[in-house]
Amino acid sequence: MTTTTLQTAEETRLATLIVEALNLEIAPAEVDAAAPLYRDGLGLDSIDILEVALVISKTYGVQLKADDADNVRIFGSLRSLSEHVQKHRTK
Amino acid sequence: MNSTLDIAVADTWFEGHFPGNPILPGVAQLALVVEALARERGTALALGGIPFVRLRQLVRPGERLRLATEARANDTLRVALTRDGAPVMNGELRFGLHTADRPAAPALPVLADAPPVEALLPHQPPMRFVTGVLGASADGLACSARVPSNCPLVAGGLAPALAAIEAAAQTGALWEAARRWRDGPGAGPRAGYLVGLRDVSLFATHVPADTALTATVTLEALGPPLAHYAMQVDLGERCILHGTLAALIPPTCPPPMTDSRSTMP
Repeated sequence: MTTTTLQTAEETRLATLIVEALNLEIAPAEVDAAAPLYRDGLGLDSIDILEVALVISKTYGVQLKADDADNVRIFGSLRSLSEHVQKHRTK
Repeated sequence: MNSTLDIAVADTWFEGHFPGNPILPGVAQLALVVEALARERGTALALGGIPFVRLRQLVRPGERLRLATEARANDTLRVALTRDGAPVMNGELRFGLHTADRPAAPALPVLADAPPVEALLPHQPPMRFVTGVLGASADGLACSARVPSNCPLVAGGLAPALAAIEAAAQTGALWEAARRWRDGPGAGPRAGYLVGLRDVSLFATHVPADTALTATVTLEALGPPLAHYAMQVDLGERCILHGTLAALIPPTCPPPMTDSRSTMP
């Protein structure tokens, strides 16, 4: 049994946005806050990540560039993505 | 009813899509899925809705796909296409035509200085559906289109109504290309990819080949290289379908290997 890192309220809201945007068959609360979002973690592929970037832009006003060298870190986990969003959000 | 079916992809699907860079059109993936399901059930199926579909990998000539389906409680069918176990497409389909009120055709201001379709779309006959620009707004475009009778989607003079999605996708590609065209010289045709559909409602089972359609798209959200467009396709005053499409336009034209579509992780 693996342990799941619990989510903060902001992380739960972001997880809900991601699950709804991608029609994932997982409850938002089940997203491990510390696990990678792509590949072996939540299993997102490159187009999923672009969809997530788009919904974040619409919801929080944070522009995530497709060619940002920092993307691997930003999308490293729900936690790192949420921290990035909260730091840069304009709405 | 849950099942698994094998789908062979015929070479005829790749003509004109695209020259020198054969890619199975996204609508052809959908058409092949609906055909396989109809064959399995021994009855014609009227696709009435696409709650969502995500197209994940390019499909090349000669490839074999496997379709897995799973019936859901809310009258929908989950579908997943794989190639050697890797996901190619997944989504949810609803059968039975949509019967809610059809929206009226959107009207966009007529565009006097319309960009040349042939110069901006990489699609060639028989997969070039868009024939001209009818109107434009700051964030939308309306085009005339038709499904050519020699297009592989057509049988007996009719194409499944989902073929109209391709007309909308090409209109979206043209909107994007026209924007680059206005921004400066050197903007040529660039292959884009249909990567997703959401909340699509269909009001007809078929559209007649070689018959004038109007495809209208309006930009809903842009996060380069991804764009979401609201789409509607009408035949005269009659709405064929509406919904949202997601398209990916790579910033340059790399060899379209599946993993080079973006630098996102």
